[in-house]
Amino acid sequence: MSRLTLAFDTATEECAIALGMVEPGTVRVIAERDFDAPRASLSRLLPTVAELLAAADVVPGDLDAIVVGRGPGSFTGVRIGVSSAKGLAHALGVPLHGVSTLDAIARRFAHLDVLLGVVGDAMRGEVYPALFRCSNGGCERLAPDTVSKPLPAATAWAEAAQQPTILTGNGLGKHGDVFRERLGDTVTFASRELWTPTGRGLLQAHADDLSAGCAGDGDVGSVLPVYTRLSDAEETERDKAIAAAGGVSEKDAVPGSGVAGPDGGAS
Amino acid sequence: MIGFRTEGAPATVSLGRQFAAIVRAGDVLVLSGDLGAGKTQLTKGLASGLDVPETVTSPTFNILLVHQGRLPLYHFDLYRLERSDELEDVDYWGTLEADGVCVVEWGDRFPDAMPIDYLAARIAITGDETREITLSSFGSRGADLLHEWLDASHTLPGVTVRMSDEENGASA
Repeated sequence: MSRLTLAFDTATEECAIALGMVEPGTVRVIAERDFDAPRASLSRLLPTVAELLAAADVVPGDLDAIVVGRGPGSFTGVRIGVSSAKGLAHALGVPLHGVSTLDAIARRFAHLDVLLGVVGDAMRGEVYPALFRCSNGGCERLAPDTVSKPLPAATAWAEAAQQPTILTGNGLGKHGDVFRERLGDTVTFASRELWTPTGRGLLQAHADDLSAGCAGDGDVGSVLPVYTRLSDAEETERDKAIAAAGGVSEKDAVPGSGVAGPDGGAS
Repeated sequence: MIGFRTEGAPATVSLGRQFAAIVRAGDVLVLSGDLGAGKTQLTKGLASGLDVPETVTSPTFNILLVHQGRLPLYHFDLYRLERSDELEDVDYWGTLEADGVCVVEWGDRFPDAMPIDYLAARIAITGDETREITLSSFGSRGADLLHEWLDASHTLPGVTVRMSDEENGASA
C-alpha cells in the first residue's frame, strides 16, 4: 500500500519539503523543495507547500499522510514545523508521523559505507550529537537524541571503539574545530550543503520507520517535538519535584512536563 | 569605572552610531538604566549607524522589534517576560546567534540567559543632561568590543572616555 505523503522539516535554517509515494522501505519522490530560509520558515513553509502541490497537480485532499521532522533543532523552528503539520493533518483527516531531523540528515549519506556523526546546533554553546552506521542505502542509528557540550561529545566519539569517519550537521559551523581537534585527520567533514535535512531524507527516514514498525499509529496528538533539553523553568520544576520526592537524583525520576525527551512521545 | 561620560542626548546617540562601526553579526549589547537614562538614544544611534531607515522605539510592548539595516538589528526588551522559558517563545536563543546585532534591555531579569560573549552597558543619570555609561565585558568578543568602542570614541563631541577607577571621584 503506497501512500501519497507530504513531508517537511523546519528545525534548521533549511526549509525541507518533499512529496512522494511511500511504502515500507521504499520512496518515490515526486517533487522536492529544499531551500535556505533562516528565520523565515514561518512565512515560507506553507506557501511553498501550496506551490509544490500545485506544480505536482495534487490537491491537499489527495494526500494520504503527513510526515514532519520533529527536531532536535531550533526550538522555534521545530514548533513551526510540528504545529503546521498538526494543523494540516488534522484538517485533512490524514495520519501524521514524526521523524528525527537528525535521521533525515543521516539519510543523505545512506549510499556510503561509513560511520556518520551528525552534529546539530543546539545553540547556547551546545550540540545535538548522534551517531549512525550508513551502508547499503540505509542508516542505523547507534544512539538516541541527546544534547551535550561539544567537547564531551567529541571526546566520547574519539574514545569510542568505532569513531565516526564522516561528520555533518549545522553544529560544525560553530564547533567544528573542537571535533577536528579531538578526532584528528581520520575524520572528514561533509561539505556545508550536506549539513541540513532534505525532503527526500525525511521521506526515506519515514519509509525506514515503516518497515521497522516504529512509525507510530499516525495519531495527530501523539507526535511531539523533540527538544532534548528542558527549559530552565522545567529544570527548576524537576529539581523541586526531585527534592520533594526525597532527593532521588535519577534524572528520569520525573518526566518532563509534556515535552518529548529523546525516547518520549510517538515517532 | 570603564566607559563613557556623555553631555546631552546627541552625544549618547553618537556613541551608539560609533558602536555600529565595530559590531558584526552575533554581537550582543545588554543595556540597563533607569527610565529616561538613554537606553533608547543609544539604540537609536546604533540603528542609524547600521543604516536602519525607520525610527527606533522601545520594544516594551512587542518584546522584540526587528530592524533591517546593513546588518539586522534585533532589539529585545525582556521587561514583560515573567519566566525564563518564555525566552524560547520569542526565539531569544536563535535570535542571539542569528545573522544580526542584538540589543537586550532588562537582561538583568534573566541572568542565566546571558550569552557567553557580550558587552553590558549600564547608563546612570548624573545630571539633567549628563550620563555615565559603565561598560562590563564578558567573553573574548565582549572584551574586544569594549576596547574597540573606547578607542573609537575619543574624538566624539560631548563624550569623555573613562578608562580607570581613579577618575571616578570627580563625578560619582
